[in-house]
Amino acid sequence: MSASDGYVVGTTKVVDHGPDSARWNLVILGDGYRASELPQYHADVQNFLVTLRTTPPLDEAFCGINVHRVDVVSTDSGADDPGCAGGTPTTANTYFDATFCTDFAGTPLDRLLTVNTALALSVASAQVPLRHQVLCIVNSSKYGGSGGTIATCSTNALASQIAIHEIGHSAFGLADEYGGNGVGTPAGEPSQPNVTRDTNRATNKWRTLIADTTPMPSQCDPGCTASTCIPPATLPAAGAVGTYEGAIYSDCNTYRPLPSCYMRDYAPFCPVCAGVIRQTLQPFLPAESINLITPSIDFRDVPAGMGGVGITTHRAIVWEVVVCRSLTFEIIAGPTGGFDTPDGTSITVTSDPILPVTQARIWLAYTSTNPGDSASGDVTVRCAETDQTWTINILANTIARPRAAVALVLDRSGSMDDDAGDAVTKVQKLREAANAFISIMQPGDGIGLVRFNEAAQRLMEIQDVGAAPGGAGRTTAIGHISGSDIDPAGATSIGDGVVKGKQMLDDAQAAAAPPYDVTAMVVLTDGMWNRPPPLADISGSITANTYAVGFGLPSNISVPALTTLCQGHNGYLLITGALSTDQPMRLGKYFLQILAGVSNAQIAADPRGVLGRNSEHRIPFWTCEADYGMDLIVLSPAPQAIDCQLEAPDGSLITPTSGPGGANSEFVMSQYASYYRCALPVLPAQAAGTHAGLWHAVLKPLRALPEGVAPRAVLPYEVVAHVYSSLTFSAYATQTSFEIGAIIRLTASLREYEAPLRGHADVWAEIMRPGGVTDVIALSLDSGGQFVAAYQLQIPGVFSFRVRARGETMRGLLFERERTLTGVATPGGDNWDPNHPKGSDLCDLLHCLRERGVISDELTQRFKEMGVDLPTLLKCLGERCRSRAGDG
Amino acid sequence: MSNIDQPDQAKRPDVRQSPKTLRLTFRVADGTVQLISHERLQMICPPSIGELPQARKHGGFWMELRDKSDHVIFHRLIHSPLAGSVEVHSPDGRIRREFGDVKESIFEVLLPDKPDAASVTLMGESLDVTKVSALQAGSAELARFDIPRGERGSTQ
Ligand SMILES: [Zn+2]
Ligand SMILES: [Zn+2]
Repeated sequence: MSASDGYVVGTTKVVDHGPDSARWNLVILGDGYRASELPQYHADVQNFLVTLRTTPPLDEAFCGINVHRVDVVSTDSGADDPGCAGGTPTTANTYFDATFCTDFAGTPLDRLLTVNTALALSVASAQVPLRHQVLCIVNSSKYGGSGGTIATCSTNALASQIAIHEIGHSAFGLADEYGGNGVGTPAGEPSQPNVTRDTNRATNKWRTLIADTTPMPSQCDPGCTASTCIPPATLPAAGAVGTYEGAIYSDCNTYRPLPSCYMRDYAPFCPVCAGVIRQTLQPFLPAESINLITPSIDFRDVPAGMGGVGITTHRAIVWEVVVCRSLTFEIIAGPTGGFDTPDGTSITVTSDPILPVTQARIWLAYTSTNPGDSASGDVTVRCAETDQTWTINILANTIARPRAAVALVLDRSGSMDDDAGDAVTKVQKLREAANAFISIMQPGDGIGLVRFNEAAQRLMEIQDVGAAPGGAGRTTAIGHISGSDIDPAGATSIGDGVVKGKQMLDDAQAAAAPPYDVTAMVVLTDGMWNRPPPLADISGSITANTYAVGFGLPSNISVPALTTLCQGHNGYLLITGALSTDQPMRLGKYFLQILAGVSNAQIAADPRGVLGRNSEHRIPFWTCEADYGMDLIVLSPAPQAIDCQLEAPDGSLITPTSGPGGANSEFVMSQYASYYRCALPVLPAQAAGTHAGLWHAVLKPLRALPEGVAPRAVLPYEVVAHVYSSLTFSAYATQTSFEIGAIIRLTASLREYEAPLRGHADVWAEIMRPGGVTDVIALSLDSGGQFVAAYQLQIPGVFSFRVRARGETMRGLLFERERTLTGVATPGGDNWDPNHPKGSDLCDLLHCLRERGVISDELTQRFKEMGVDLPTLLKCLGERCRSRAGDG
Repeated sequence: MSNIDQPDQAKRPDVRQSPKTLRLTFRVADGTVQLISHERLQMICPPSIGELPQARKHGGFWMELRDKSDHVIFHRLIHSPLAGSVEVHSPDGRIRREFGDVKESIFEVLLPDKPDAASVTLMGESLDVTKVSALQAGSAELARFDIPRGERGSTQ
């Protein structure tokens, strides 16, 4: 029994209203919780705290209270229940030895739930020396509790009332206000402040609360025949404090202040008891203070929007407030200068339920106009209760949309000729993905190309992509990608590629006027870096945001080095794994996601499907009021064969011919992608119906195909909705080990108008494990406002994490966001040796033969003459090597 | 700016002293009360509530902190120090108190750690709870202890 039946885990200050030395400290212990039940204990403590802080007058004194939760693990769940009132006796080995049916003076009392008081006090003192009150919550749903030196209650929904009544005795010295037969009633005037024998209004101890019109005594107990109480001629007013017969265990000649009180029947504390509680806690209340944190508000460098539609940004005027009462801050003048107040012009705050300081916020909004414009104004706010006023200056300016320069650093080593997994070569997949990427880039952004095998070359210097479609930079870049410049041959030197990419971006920045706002490097490789320089040597000098796509199986790719490269530079690594026939455009989607990151777009939806000959697919996606632009992209091997229209929330149809002019939309067709680029609202005349709400992309096969487009029985597609928004989502994966069993940590955050999201949101990750098994985990909000989760990579291979968020904006509209991340585990993953990639000697030989270009047409012909089908032999060997790599 | 906020005041730590509190632990057994341990704590002591009860006139229990001249400088009401009763809460919302003879119990008292305090006195009606009733005579001094020295101590 007792302390041997468990252990103390530790203490968390769940309500922190200041230093323990200056506050009233409540210590909560738990008994009868097994280790696995601690989350339930935490929830039970929270439930109790809700009751505590909403019980007047503790609500207004809560700012003076700290609460310390001591986690204690018991061997068994629950409490002893000897069954003294019937029922089966049960025992539970718990740390504080909680039991119902506590024996009192020889009689077991069913609802009397007690714990080992001396042990509880000792644990409480060891954990929280400056304790004022100890409460033990016992993990049983049976109603019960007790008082005394410490209060005890079960987790029954009503048992928290027991605890508060008992704290009324032990912490505030209050007497019971119920009557009885007189056993236990003191002979003289009770010393307690809330019960009396004195009905004289001139001498009664709570006389200051008794109105002249209230009769004294105010009410006699009709069941009491031996009383000296003379019933009043008129009844007291309802709720009038007076002297009501029956208190402190006697129905006769003892009086309480009101008919009902927490100390009698759990009704709200009567004014006398409430006054005692206030007076007791008064020395613990913090001094009130109000501190303006934002003497001025600066909407600096807000980008211009799209299609003449500005971008709205919100910033808050913030006060740090230490307060016990509620305070109202209200705008009494302004804001001048054209600024808005999107959340209203006043805010009322009270003490924070768990923190010492409350923040009061009044929001201001600025909508960008034209690049170079600026605005200024001020706003005056008053605190109604203190009559303090503050005048806050407001500044704002609009800048041009940030321009990005992107260097694509592309692997052209011999192995890029391998099958990507769905009978198409890797290099062809790369051509399609890079083509779509370049086609969708925004006018004004720069593109440059680097290719690498055993050495790297700058294929194309950074150049403005120009108009879409047909801009000069875009056309040149697509020409390089489509032509022989990236035909596979040779070995792999990722390091040299990264060096050349970095130099190219540096040179472009030096030459550009004005310089680009963002530089980004996107590295695509399917291999180990097996030629110097090592990535670690060059990583430190890179300033561009760096993304990498590992194209293929993790066992063939320098995962740790690429992860370090990206994680240190504001980007991330994605590993495709083998592409499957049901997801042939995964590489293209990864490229689009990176493009979204580079151009600060949010991914609102990305479903995929296959269009049949007579099918029509309606693909839903949501936009919200914080969104100011969107790209609705269709990736396909043949986008020219797909009719794509947009259906706005009000039913309006946006077609390729709608804009520009009539609509804030532009439709662009390219070889592997088509897209609508829109500003929101798309139809200014129907602003409400073509901005926020449920949109549909409507896809159909084109009946009349353009010239040169071959008809297809089925059309696979991927639809991706990029929105440009003031509601932003970011998600990152952090992985420090790559061994099997490694932990990957997912971190996501949501911001609305550059402030933390004010509405509710759920964030979760849909996990695709190697082998296709799926899993879902929720990300939980941490104290820093980020959504976090950890996941163990228990089997070898590539794990993809589709991190999704769904919630409500401050205006109550639905939004969705997502980002895909990948994680990798392989045996020996932390000892990746670039010069000795895992695999058999035969596979190494095959790789080498291909890289060195040994297998010429002539050789193939010679073997054929000898009766050996070399291409098939190599294909078989290639498949064998891939499957080995896949096995880890 | 007509900003009349006073950040200095807000940043200033709580100006009130954190006076020391003396936590005394008593054991009641076989009709006698013993001081079994004490601790001096850097925390605020809850204040006295109400007027000082008077022996014989007032019922119930309280602790008196007295100076060298035997003047009461602080008092603390004690609800049921002797564990001679327990309170039973029923699911139907009724509360009742059971009284009975209990051999031993422990209780704690928080008192201000005043430099001029010399003794602490337990006042009340009787240490034999079965004798406490409206028919009995009033309260009197039940036990007296010197204020213990040192940061903490225990007689056990
Ligand atoms: Zn009670
Ligand atoms: Zn009351």
